[in-house]
Amino acid sequence: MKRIFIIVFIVILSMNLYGQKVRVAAAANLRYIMDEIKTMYIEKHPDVKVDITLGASGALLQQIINGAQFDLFMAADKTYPDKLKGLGATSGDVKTYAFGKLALWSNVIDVSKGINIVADNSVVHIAIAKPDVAPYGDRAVQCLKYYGLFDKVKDKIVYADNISQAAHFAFTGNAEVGFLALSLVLAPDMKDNGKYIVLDTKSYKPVEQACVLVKTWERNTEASKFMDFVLSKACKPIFEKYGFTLP
Amino acid sequence: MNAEFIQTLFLTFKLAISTTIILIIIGLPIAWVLAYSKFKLKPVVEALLSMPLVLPPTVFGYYILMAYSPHYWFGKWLNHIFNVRLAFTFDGILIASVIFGLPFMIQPIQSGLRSLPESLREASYTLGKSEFTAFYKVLLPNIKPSLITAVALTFAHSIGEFGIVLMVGGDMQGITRVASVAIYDEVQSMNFSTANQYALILFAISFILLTIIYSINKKQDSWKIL
Repeated sequence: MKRIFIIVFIVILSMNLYGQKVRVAAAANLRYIMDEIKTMYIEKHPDVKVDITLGASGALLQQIINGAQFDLFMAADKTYPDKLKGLGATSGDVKTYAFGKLALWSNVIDVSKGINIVADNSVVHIAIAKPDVAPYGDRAVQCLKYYGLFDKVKDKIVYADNISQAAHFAFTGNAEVGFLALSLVLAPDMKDNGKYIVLDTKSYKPVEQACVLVKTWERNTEASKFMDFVLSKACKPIFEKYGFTLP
Repeated sequence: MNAEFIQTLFLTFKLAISTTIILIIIGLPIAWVLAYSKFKLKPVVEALLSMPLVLPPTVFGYYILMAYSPHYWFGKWLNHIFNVRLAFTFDGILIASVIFGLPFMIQPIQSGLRSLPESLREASYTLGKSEFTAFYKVLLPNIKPSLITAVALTFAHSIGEFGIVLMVGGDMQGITRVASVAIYDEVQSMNFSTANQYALILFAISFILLTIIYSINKKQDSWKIL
């Protein structure tokens, strides 16, 4: 009797080991894209579960280093997966999946006049994601410095935890403008509710968004299939729809 | 231990002390009303005042941020009439902290008052004391332990506030970055030694303060026979 229980227990346990689940840590600016990619993937592979956690690339990197159980890390800047690879915590290569763009968004003031509007008195708060954890925040600061505006406006800057929170500050009007990822600005919620301009790409270092598989103790073949899918031709229209340029 | 560090700590205690003082002033009348009156909507009022106990701070912070937003009526009114914008300011987090601390001040006082025998209040009325004098000179002194608990809880809770201050405050150095948020920041930036310094100091100061408060309480800690 006991032996039957043990065998059944081991069988159930091993069934769980092959439970097809892909856990993705994705940068916050990929919010809408990941929804669409996930839907497409599940249509083709209905028995797979895809869990997506969004956050600032730096914050996600920290979590992974501290043992968070993710299978795929999709960051908004290549330096983060590279760091993870440097620590030996990855399997396979770091692959660039898209190049992002920085945009200035507002539903309070007219941004079409150009970036100099941020120095205006009507702008009391500028929402930027924290530069040391969010690549788009870092680029926003570079952009402001490029146009010689950073020192003028630095007291007005409110640093959000990640690019989504920066969007939220701008969306609620608590910050009159926000430096956001174009991918968030093109989402239906934001696009129909405000005006934006795409900032000149020469004013900041390119946003090379890259991903890598995390080395986990269990071989998750589904995760590498998912990563291949993200990089495949099928997903390219989704990235382009949200303003990314493809490598 | 640099200027920023001390500024952050100063801000933290400024927020906690201001919150506690404001809550004492508005909490006492509310507790008195809740302890001694009966009205139809009382359960609703009590439930509303207890919401901060169950509502996650981030939910609460989200709604407060919406309230402060110039797109909605409250923020719009403030902006239009007073030219006041509350998001990302000290006043903004103070108001949020006060609202969130209401049950911590009101509930201990309310239950303290309710546990006093009715005869005490009635005796002071028959001796000609006004309601206010009765409250201030007779009832309150008799619930000193509850008062001390209320003050200690409110203060401690306000020091530990994180979710709300983060959502409403925007983490601005010297204005809304309190110690709890600073610790989170330093950990995220991997400055573990700074984070540790903040954490230890917060822990030590809060611990000492509370020990003092509870040892005052100890003197009151005798069984009363009324």
